[in-house]
This record gives sequence, C-alpha cells and structure tokens, in this order.
Amino acid sequence: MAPRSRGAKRIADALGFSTPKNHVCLSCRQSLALTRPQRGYASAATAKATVEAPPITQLSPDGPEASPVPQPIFTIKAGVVLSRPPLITPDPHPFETAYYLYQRRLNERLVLPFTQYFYYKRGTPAFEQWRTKRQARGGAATRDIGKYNAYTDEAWNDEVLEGDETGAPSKIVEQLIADEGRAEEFTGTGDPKFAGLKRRTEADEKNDQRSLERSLSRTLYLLVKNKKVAGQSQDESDFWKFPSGTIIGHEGLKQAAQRILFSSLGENMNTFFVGNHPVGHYVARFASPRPGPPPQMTTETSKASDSALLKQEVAQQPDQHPSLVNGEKTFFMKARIMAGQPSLAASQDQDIEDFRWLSKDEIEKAVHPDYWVKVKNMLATQ
Amino acid sequence: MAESHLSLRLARTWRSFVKPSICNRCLQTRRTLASQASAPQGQRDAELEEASSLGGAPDAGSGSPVRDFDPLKVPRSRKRQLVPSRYQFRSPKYYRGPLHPHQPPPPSDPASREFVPGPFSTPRLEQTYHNIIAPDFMTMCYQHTPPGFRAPQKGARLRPWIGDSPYFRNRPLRGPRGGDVLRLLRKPITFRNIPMIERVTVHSFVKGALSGGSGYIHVAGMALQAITNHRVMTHEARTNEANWGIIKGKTVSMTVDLKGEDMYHFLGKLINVVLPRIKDWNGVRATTGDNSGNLTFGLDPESVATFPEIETNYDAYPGKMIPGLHITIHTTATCDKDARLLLQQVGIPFYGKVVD
Amino acid sequence: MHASSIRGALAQVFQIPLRPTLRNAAGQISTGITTTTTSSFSTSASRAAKKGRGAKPDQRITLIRYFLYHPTTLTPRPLRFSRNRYLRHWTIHRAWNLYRAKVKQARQLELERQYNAMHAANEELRVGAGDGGKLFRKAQMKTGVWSIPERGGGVPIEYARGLVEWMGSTGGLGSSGTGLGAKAKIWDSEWTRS
Repeated sequence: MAPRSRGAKRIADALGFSTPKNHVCLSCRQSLALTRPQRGYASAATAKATVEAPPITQLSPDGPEASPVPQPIFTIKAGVVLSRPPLITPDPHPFETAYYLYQRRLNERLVLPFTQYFYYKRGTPAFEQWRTKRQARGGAATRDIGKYNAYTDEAWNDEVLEGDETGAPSKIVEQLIADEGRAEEFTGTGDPKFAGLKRRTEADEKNDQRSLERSLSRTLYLLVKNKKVAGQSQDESDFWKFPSGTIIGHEGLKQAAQRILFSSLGENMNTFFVGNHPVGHYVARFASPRPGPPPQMTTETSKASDSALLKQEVAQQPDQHPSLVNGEKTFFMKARIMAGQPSLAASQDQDIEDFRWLSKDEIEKAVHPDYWVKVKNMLATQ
Repeated sequence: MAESHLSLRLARTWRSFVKPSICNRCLQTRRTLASQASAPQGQRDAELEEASSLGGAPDAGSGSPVRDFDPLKVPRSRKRQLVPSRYQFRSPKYYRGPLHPHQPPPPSDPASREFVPGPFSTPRLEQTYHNIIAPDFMTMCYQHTPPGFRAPQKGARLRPWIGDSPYFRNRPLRGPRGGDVLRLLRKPITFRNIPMIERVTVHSFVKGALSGGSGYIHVAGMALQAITNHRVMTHEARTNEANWGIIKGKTVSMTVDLKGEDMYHFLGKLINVVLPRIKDWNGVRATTGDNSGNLTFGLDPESVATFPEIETNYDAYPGKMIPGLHITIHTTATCDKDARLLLQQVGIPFYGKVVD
Repeated sequence: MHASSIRGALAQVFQIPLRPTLRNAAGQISTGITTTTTSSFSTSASRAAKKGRGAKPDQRITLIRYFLYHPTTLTPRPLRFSRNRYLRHWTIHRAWNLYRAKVKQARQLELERQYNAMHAANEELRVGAGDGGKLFRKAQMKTGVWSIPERGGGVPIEYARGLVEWMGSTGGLGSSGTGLGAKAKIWDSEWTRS
C-alpha cells in the first residue's frame, strides 16, 4: 500500500467512514442487496463462504467414504461438440489493412528494383502487355500498392489519404483480376468483377442454418433439437442442445459419442474426434427425482478407489431406489467434421427433430441460459 | 506551491474514498468475465476504432478541406527547392559500445540502418494455426492432473563425480548415462506451451558445382531466392573429401533461414501447391527428426520446379541445374512426436515406421 | 568503369536496356562487340573448336548471374522523413505493437478458457462420474494420438484444410469432370461412408 493511500485510510478511519460498506462499490452493493435483502453483510459473507468452499469429501478421491446422507444419482451421458472449422480467414481489421499498405509502400521505397527482364523477354507480347500495365500503375512493379512510384521525386508522398481504398483486399483482388483479363473463365455464377471469388455464399444470404456453407469465417457447431418425449418439461424440448445420449455397457466416452452421433444423425459424416477425453461438461439437476434409464448407466457418485462398495451399491440399486435419478451429467467430446452432412432421414433412432449449424454467438441465443453458462467456455470465439 | 500540492492530494484521497470507483469484488468478477465470458467481438477492443481512418469521415463532403487536401499542391507550386535541413541524423556505421555518445537508434526506427519494413500481410497458414490447429493440439495432448497433484521429483540429470580422486573436486558434473547429450525435457502441454513452427531452413547441396563450375551455384541461388524471397547464404566445404569429390574451400551448398511472414508463405506454397503435385509420393518418413522437434525432408529438382515462382518462369532457368532441397522445419516442440503431430495438422503427410 | 562496360556488353548481348546513365556507353560498346565477334583475326573461337569444347556456356546462366548481382544504379534510397512524418511513423508503429499485443492476449485467453473448461470436465469425470474412475481412465488413454494415419492414429489428411481468403465459384472441391464451368462445391455434402 502506498503511503498516500495509507494516509487516506487513516483519515477515513478517523472520520468513521471505515464501515465494511466502503470496501464494496456501488454496483456490488446493489447486487448484494438484491440477492440477499434481509440479511446483514456478515451473514452474507458466511453464506458465500459455505457455498464457495469445495466439498472436500466429494472432491478428493482418497477421503473417507462413509457419508450417511445418500449421494445424488446422476445419469452419465456422452455428448458431441461437432464443429466445422472456419474455411476462410477472418475479416481483417481496418487498421491491419491500412498498416499493411503503409508498410508495403515503405518497402517499395527501400527494395531493389524488380528484375523485369528476367521474367519478361524483351520484345514479346507479354512484355509489352506488362509494360503498358506497369505504366498504368504509375510505374510500380507490385500490384498491391496502388498508383505509386518510389523512383520519382514525389516518392515521399507515400501515405494514402482519407477515404482511399487502395489497401482493401477486395480492391486489390479486383485489380488483379482486371489485370489478368481472364475473369469469364472462372466466373461461373458469381460476380464477374471478382471472377466469381466470394466470401459470402448463398447460404449466408438465405441464412440457411442447416447448411455448412454458411458463415465461412466462423467455427460452426452442430446443435440438435430432440423430439418431444412424454414426461419431459416444456423447457427441455424447446431449447437446442449438442447431440448427446446415455452410455451403454462398457464403452468409453469416445465410442459412445461416435455411436450417438452416427445413430442419430446418419453415418455420412467424415469426422475426426480430437482427443479421447471430454472438453467440457454439463451437469443438470432435476427438480425432483425421475425414473432414469436402466441401472447400469446410473451410478451413485462415490469414490474412485472404493469399487467394492460401488459394486455393492449397484447390486442394491434396483430394489433400493428403482432407477430414480436426481440429474444428469453430460461430458462433451470434441470432434471436427471434414466432409458430409448430417441427415435426419438416415438416422436410426429418429429421436431428433431438427439440427442446425451455429456459431458461438448464435448458440447463445438458441440454448437455455443455464446450458449456455456451462458450455460457453469450451467453444471457440472465432 | 507546496500548499496547493497538499490540498490537491487531500482532495484526491477524499474523492477516492468517498466515491470508491471499483471495489475488489467488482474487479474479480470483471476479470473472470473478461477471461471466461463469450467476448463476442473476439480480438476487437475498445481502444481501437472500429472504422478505418482511411474509410472516410461520414460528414466530410466533397467540398470539405479533408476531401480536397492534396499533399502535392504546395510542393509543386514552389518555385525553388526548400533549404535542406541543417541537421540530418545519420546512424553510426559501427556500434561503438554503450558508452559512446553516438548511439544507433532502435531497428524499428526508419533512420536505423537495420530498419526493415514489414509485415505486409497476415499469412493464411498463421491464421489457420491460431484458429484451428493450436486449440486442437492442446486438446489432443492434454494430460489431466488433479488439483494439488505434484509430479514426482526426478533426480538430477547431471551426475556428480564420486570417488577419492583429487581430480574429482570442483570438476564439472558428469553427463547423463549413455551419452553426453542432454535431451530436451518435454513438459506437459498446456495453453502456454503449444508448439508452433519457429523457422524453416531451406538447404541445398549443389553437387554440380564440384565439377561443373559456378553456374550451378548461381542458378541454385537464383532459384532459392525466387522461392523463398530471401538472399541465400553460401557455404564452403570445410574439409577435403576425396570420395565425394569435395575440395576444401569450394562453395558447395547454400541455405536460407526463414522466419515469420516469409516462412508462413513458403510453407503455404509448399503444402498447398508443391507437395500435392509430387507423383507417387508417400509423404515424409516418420522417423525423421533430431529428437528435439526439428523435422527435415527433401525435395527433388522436379518438385522444386513446380514452385509457382519457378514454374511461371521455367524457361529462364537451365532445367538440369535446378537444385534439390532439404527443408528443415524447426518447431518449438521439444520432441519429435509433438512436432510430427503439429506438421500432420498443418498438412504434411508421414509414412513408415514411427519411432519415439 | 570496367564493371559498367561489362554490364553494358551483357545488356547488349541480351537486349536489356540499361539505366539512363549508362545508355550512351552501351551504344559505344555495342559497336565494339559486334566488330570483335565478326573479326576473323580472333583465334579464340578456332582454338575452342580445336579442343572439342565447343559447348558455349548456357546463355541463361549468364543472364541469371546478371540478375543475381543486380545493377545497383537504383539501389535502396535512404528513408528521409520530415519531423511530422517521423512522428506519424512512430505513432503507427506504437499502435501496431499495441494491437499485436492485444490480439496475442486475446488468443491466449481464449486458449486458457478452453483449457480450463477441459480441466474442469476431466476433473468432474474423474471424481463425479461415480463409476470408480473407469470412464476417466479410458478417456485418458492416449493410444494413437502421436501415431500416423497409416498406423491407425494421428491426424487424417482431410483435417488439414487451411484457411483461404476467397472461395471460387468454379472448379475446386468435388466438381467432378465437368471442367472449368462446373459449380464449385465449398463443402462436400454428398460424402458417404462407403
């Protein structure tokens, strides 16, 4: 603490300002008051501490097992975060564009001249064409710095003025295509000015969220909406989720994720599972215990080392609480799609109503807010 | 003077505790928000204007001074040249030590002799690395350690000299068993040490130069210069080698060291244009590497001729003199398997036996 | 003087115009060269023929030498900035460094975020899955991660589809046999597992 602020503290003490209130800023005070209006700050602090302190007996695998309170039972599910990596580069920041043009022009002032006779034989049509185009560019050999000649007396004037479009990538590409003069060979259905090159597709225009040709510069994630099952609340079926399902038998997470993906959305996807371990998880606690799937998948949260007890419990489970689960834990596997497309027609399970490919900020709007909080950290921003 | 200072200070402290700007709790939550939350803008930040200064001010019409400014108008209308400035700074030609009054400016200064402009673009391969490859590499190599886990301490790799000999006293430590080389240690991959491509060395041994004169050297140098955008460094043979016909002091090979933007452009050309067009090519042998994350492979002259810079201008090179290349990719990985995984992600295929 | 005359000679032979300063010299030399080559008194040609080394050095090599050691009449001009321009340059430089640092930090934070999510998930799997850590141990198997596709591991080559700046409308991925006019496929949606 700096001497000055120490002095300020002392003054504050003397003036009686030094209540605990003063350590909390206005916004925090309001939020605290909102959450716990009837309690004092001290009790709030203790409550917070109890919430934040990790339940050590649960977290440490070697701790004493015996806890008289029955542990909640969770269904373990495997999920797939299937993503299409971006296909085109992100849009450059305007500052980058301007900076690159500035540096290219500086470079033009400093480099050795272009050896044009090495590339164009003198007297050939190619050379004549090159020369006329070079003259049209003001004598510059490079085609990405606009009209600028570093060998004249006015070479000092290499900064572009406001509103100048010289350095914009689209402008440079347009110029190159005009230079080359072969645009119609490649245009197809696209823009002839850019010889059919594009960064936005029809899927972008139509906002076709089932298409993988949308949002080429973003990572797209596969989200599905499950068909309504009787007994499920409105909340769960209305929101989008990553494809997930329960684990069957002795399979690992990766096998389960593969099986779930291919059985529910068809096999015609060329995917690559990145790693064997989950990259994120989602824990849902039901408001009231529900009948879960067969007991081999529902297990009690117990200690890793204590397998004897586990077996015992599993053996007891069917008669003790006939497959009632308190919640579910979904572990998400990371996968990349490289070709193909999911299809609802080809699925075996027919449990999925619809699928979508969404980028991260679109996911936020599509999924349940609680779900979003749990999954957002494993998703790539770009 | 002192009075005013004091009062100012007091006022500042007063303000600071009457109206606390940000408390600790707030700071923490903000921190986590910044690091954990969506940050939908990604790399964008508040300090940087979203609009380019070159984009044009919205209110600047055709008659505004901003639009009509012509930097050449005044100099052109000048009848006589301006008087040159009396003071012209010249960077010293040699560095004469830190105590010399005439110090060279930093290399970023345009007045410096070492000033090099650049970068001129963001290479696509670099963006691919940051957007796709690095997160996936981190995921693939992730090793879970429970909180509080501490890896068991290993013994020192350099052994002391134990014995009665008086020569053992103060003697430098012994090397590891089985050789003198201290291998690099592989640390668990976290978000901080994801390997990336550091530099690429392109090397060409010009065999023809041993008997065929300097033409081979010059052609190879030109080809390498065209491919890599850098001047080559030539190397002379250090010893006589009768079997290979190498004569001491004769120029036999050349290298180019690529870093940064040039490196990424070179690798992009190599991976997307050259390697796919090699006929009956299995890939790079998976046993390549120097045990510290630097992998080498070769290209024959026919594939070097398919580099776009040479292909468009193939007639200018004597076809038989185009050199073959050895390309060494130096990565920041500390073992070959990580480097191989990285290069697989980048798009270089491997074949054959895998040795780790 | 000597070097420039050689350059002039070369320029004449390969029909390369010289820089303005050397143009006059080139004209003089060119006449000289033509006379020497046509002169019947020169013995060099006949001597070469006698020895059986008639192969002249490739013209292209000479040309490459010429361009490799570039004529330096128009070599780098020093950058001379006025004071205001210098200050502008300095500002741009600082702004760029700041920008790069921020981009780098954003990337680092992004990776850290994903890493922490992964760590939390694995910890939950280890402790909270309730199967005695069986799933966790299976998930931590690293078999084949550092292998190669040929040996049933590693990264498939289709994974390495790098970013591009533009997508074409013709040709490209998956357009089979219809040539240049074919509509390009950005994504191979019809891929089937065979």
